[in-house]
Amino acid sequence: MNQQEFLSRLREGISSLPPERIQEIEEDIFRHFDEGHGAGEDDDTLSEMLGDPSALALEYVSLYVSDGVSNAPAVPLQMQTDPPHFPPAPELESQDNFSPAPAERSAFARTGIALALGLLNIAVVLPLALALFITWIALAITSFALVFGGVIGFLASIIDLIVPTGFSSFFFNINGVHFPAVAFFGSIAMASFGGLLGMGLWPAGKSGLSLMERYTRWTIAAINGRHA
Amino acid sequence: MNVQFKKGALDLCVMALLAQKDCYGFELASTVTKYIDMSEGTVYPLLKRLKDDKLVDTYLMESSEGPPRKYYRLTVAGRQRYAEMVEQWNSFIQGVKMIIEGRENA
Repeated sequence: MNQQEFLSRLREGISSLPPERIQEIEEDIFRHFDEGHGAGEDDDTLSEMLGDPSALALEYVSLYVSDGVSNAPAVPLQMQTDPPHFPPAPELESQDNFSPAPAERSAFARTGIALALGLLNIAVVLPLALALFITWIALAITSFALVFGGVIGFLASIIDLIVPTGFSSFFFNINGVHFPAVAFFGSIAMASFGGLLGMGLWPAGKSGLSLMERYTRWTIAAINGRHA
Repeated sequence: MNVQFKKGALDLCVMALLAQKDCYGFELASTVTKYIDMSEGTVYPLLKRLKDDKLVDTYLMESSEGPPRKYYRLTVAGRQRYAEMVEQWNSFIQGVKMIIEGRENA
């Protein structure tokens, strides 16, 4: 493998790093070849001694990820504010109830916090969210059933008022006795109640989702640390 | 030999070489691999990390052959860290040796 091949394969593997970093790495390896040529070595030998370019690229990338951007003071400022591997910790909205995450985390702290929060999430937050979700689904089904049943019952009682077939008694009867008027108003009440329930559930579901989204973002921010 | 062994020791080796004298990349890489069986490339990410941590800095110096060379040198913090690492390494090695030789049961 000649120098060009080695460098281009290396470049492929580190393409996710910031451009300044890529340039520094390429320059280092370029120099290595230069210095090697000065010592009388040829491209093939130098490439072989350097090892697999993809493996080298992986070492650079994992170094950048594990070292983190936050605790690498020598990295230019621009990279600190624009890390490529984790999205910049989201700005928390002002109405957010969660306490803001601290500004910086080391890789070690991130792992610890990720573990702790992960346990908390699995043991507490997940079951709670699941229970709320199931409740919401049950209420939504109830609401739908009330509206559906109410509309059917209403139509049936209308038919009954015109042609007294007793059809609506299938839906509304008290101890086997049929009251068409009860069926008429009852079905309206039923459908209305179902509709109101549904109207209440909709925004509740939406705010539930947004709460979950905010909590997730807060978790990520708490793990990565926020770049103030 | 176990890759993890080498990785752990490599920091120390590179810093030891730099504690003796400033070196350029190829020089460091070829010296380390002369004694330890590993890819020369591995030295460079390590140097980058040491530089990020401000344990090492670099400067350019004219060379008789070809373009100016980039030399690596230990910073004051780097020397301090190196001294700590040597101490830790020695006590670690001593501990491992004691266990391997079964002397803790003697």
